[in-house]
Amino acid sequence: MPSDFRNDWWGKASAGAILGLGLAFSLIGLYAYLGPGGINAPGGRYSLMRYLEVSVWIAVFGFCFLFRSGRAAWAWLGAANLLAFAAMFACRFYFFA
Amino acid sequence: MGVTLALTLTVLGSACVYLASPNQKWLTRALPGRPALVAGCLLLAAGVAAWIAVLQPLAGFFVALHVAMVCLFVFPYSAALRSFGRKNEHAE
Amino acid sequence: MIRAEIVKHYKTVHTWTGITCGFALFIAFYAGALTMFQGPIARWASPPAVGVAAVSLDNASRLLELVAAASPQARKDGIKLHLRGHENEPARVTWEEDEPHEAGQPHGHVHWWGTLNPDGTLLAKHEEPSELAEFINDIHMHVGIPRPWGAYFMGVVSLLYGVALIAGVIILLPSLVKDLFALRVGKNLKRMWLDAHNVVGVAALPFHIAMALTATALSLSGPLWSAQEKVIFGGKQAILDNLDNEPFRVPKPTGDPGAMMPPAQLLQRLKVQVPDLEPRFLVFKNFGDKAASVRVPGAQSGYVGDTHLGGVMLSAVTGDVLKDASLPSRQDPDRRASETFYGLHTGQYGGGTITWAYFFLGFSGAWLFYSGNLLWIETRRKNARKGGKVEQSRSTRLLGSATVGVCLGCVAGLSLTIVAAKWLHGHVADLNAWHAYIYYAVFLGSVAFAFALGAARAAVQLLWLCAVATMAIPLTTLLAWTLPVLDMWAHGSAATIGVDVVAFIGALCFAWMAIVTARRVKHGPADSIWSARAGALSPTE
Repeated sequence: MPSDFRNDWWGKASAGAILGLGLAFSLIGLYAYLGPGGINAPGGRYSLMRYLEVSVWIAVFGFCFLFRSGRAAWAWLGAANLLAFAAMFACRFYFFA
Repeated sequence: MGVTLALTLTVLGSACVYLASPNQKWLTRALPGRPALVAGCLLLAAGVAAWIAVLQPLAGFFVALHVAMVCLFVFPYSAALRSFGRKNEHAE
Repeated sequence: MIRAEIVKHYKTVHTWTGITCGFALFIAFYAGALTMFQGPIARWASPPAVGVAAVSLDNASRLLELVAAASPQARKDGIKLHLRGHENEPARVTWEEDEPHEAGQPHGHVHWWGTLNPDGTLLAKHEEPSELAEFINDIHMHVGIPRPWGAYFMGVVSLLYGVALIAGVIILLPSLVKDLFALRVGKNLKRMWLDAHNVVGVAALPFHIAMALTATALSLSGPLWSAQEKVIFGGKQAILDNLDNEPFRVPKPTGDPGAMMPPAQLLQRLKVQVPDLEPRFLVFKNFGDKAASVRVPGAQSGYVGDTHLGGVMLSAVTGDVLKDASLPSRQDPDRRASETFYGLHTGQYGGGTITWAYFFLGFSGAWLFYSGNLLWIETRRKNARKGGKVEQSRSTRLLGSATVGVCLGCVAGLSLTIVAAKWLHGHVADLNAWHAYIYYAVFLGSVAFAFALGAARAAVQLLWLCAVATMAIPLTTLLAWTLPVLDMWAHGSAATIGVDVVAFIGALCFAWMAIVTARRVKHGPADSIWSARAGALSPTE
């Protein structure tokens, strides 16, 4: 079977590091707005968000080398970022209009 | 008292799991795989239950987990160091 | 089934993340294992003092009154009343005052302790406590790099450590079940180091995952917090910080005097209202005021992260609980989850069992990175052809030297700086600065030594240095006990003797490793960076 799996170290690693962090902030941002208690949740939420953010970041960074190529990693993770950030900004405008 | 019981159960459970592995080096032959593994898991479950009785559920689970982790790398190392020592005696 | 090319891909990821982060992680794990006994080490290093017992709890009210009258700053910022009688509690009460400074500028603090003279008057003394335990913790958190860069550096290192863990698991998946618990000692050194590396990594995997996550979050917490505010809330949400501080906010002083409840009675009231809290000490604020308060930090047994924020605030007049929202049992679910992460990092739960388990897991982590580097070297070893000489590549020789110098330099440096707490006390003006000088001198000296002599020779010598430096810890205590003329001290509590006993066993382990390494340098395969015979082949030869 011919394989199109490419060793794009820098392409994949940069996608994992940058878009992983973006996905971390946008997804955890959604939790901050939509999680139990919402925007007025008690003070522990801010503190917890750090741990959740790095969990997403590490997972995306670690597994991003499974993508076929650097371009695929940027495309898929970029699309995921767009969706997640769009949803998060929608929440921000809704709550802080 | 509760802590001693919980610790004993967790260590014994880990030992059973280790001895059930074909890679164990404590005995000349591994314990029969399936029954020893089941016994080990039961002992570990009892260990978790005993830790939970002493602490809260979450803390109890984590204490049992960490004790088991220590056991599961200390056991292979203890066996390896023993065979390492024996080999050196032969060499001299 | 995972495709072979993916496994190969991840092998490269694992190798490079591991090699770049291994040194920093070794230091963080070794020093981190020692911080599990931060309390006992602080007690070991503290010189004999008046002690808590000099003033009984019944007489403590009088002492607090005198201190509050003598130091307005202490009255406002807090007077600490000690309860446990540990050696690092110099007297019944201690407090801090600002160093002289210009208004609004950052400044340090000076430490005071206070006790009662026989005639009932206040005896107050300015004395800086030993910060040895804090220094070890600082090395653990920042691997010796100045703030704030050390934290950022460790944040990135911990992030890559997480990536290395994921990669390591993916590499192992195909052979995970077959090789579980296997540690094959024998002629095949690559096999042996691989097994030695995998056994530790696989058995302690949940521990390592928790450490990678929490270490990244804790190291980068400052940048993450400000990024959260900007990116997620667009700068429109700061109220949560106020809510965070609420449980610690002190009631405003009224200016009217009030009758203070004696500490012994306060503790009784505490026991009735919060029976499962073990108080560590009491902090009185605005003592003598009608709105005076007492903060009681302590562990609430049974919770993960039981001591970090745990505690309550009482009224110093009535002994009623004013605030208890920071108690583990009263925290909101998000705070509880966050404190669980924190507790999993620091091992603040489960008492002595977890302290010891984390101590061993910390050493196993340090060993994981050390063996990982050795494995890299062994994998790249060029085998000597029959009778021929072989020269190992420059990169393996340099990595070998760096591994030996950094790892053993950290071990020897920490041991010697601990020993210095007794030998230098009273002989130097700023002992806490000397702890840093000694550590850095030994650490950098060891690295230079390893590069100068090559991994093989340096490893044996530096392992002996580690053994001697660590053995000096119990020997110092023994000398102090037998020769009072040296003006050092030997505490008799189980915790401090425990430090000596553990150091004694550690020193024996280092000596054993030195002997085994020396044998390998002499008799092991010559086509290795671990052979002095191969090391003699200088690049010019």
